[in-house]
Amino acid sequence: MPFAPSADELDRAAQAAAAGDRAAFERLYRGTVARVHALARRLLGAREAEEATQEVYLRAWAALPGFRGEARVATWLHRLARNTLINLVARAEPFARAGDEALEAQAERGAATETRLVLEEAIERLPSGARAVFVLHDVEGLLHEEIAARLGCSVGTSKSQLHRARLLLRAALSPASTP
Amino acid sequence: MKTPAHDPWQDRLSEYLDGELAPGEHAALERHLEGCAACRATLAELRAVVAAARALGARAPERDLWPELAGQLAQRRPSPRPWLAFAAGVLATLLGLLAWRALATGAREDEVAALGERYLLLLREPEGFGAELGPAQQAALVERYARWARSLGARCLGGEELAPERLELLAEAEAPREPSGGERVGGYFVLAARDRAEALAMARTCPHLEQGGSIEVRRIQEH
Repeated sequence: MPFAPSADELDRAAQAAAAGDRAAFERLYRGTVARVHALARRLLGAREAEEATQEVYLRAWAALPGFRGEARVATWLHRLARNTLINLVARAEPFARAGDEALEAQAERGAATETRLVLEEAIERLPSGARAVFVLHDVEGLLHEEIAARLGCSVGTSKSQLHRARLLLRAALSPASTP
Repeated sequence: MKTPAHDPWQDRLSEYLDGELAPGEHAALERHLEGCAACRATLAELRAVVAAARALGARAPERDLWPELAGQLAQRRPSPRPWLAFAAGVLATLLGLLAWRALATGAREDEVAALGERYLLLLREPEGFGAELGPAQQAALVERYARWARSLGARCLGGEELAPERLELLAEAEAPREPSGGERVGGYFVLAARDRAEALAMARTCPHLEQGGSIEVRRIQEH
């Protein structure tokens, strides 16, 4: 069970980590990694999520001395994570090979039974472009304009991919479709 | 389970749900929904997907990533691009040694104050700075920088490495953008000098220039 430090505790850990305290950075890491990793896994898939998560924290470690405490460190870190991960997604050109292969994959359910995990697994099986737009819009709350600018697609593509993702994900939430 | 693709309103349901349709279209779709059970059902399903997405929580990695991460912190890997990390490492070594030597020369507050003004030397480095040096050449360069610092005696008040990745990451936290032209400030020195001419004369002797870097000289505003 990961420990759940308060926002104040995280801010104090960030201050100490900025000054070079690695034990404090470990506290910051342990207190925030589940949220960062969740986003990494949704955006990049299980295989790349771990390395991407480490990349986020290495950047955070380097950037912490410049963190002025204007925002909560958890907010600052999530923004940094989101930016780093979006760049990784964009680099992989998510719209380059938009196929419909995921439609078939959708039919095979994973072993998970809990709704939340079923949905997570279904998200992982989405085509990469639809997955990126869905996670950024519906989970992270970004606007189509921002998503389009960051991923290098049109606003129209962002909207149509979101709709496509939602349609594909319906199956994950409807137990009636299970044979 | 195939969605009937012929109903054009089906394609607009997400926009409707997100409040992104123009008022006329919004009203038209509402009228359509009254008479179309298929679209109503799809809309309800889409709504459930959106609600479930909002409810997704944190998810810890399946194995502990910290030990590996801690190892990389120890190497102080400052940048995902190896050549930049290397160039930064070279300069960090140089400046770390310099700062230490400068302090070791025993510059005392009263001597420094007597010298007058303080000047900041910003050491700029072009893209790929130091990347071509082998270990022996690096060591030789370190010694040249160190000799230069010793030659300034108490007038060198210190020099520090500027972590280059901080610039990049600070910018990235808001709007990711590469530094223009690949040039960056790699470090700085603070010198004490009687006047501008003396400061410039000292700066001109810095080995950083021969190495291919450039130096911006600024006077520190005293209050």
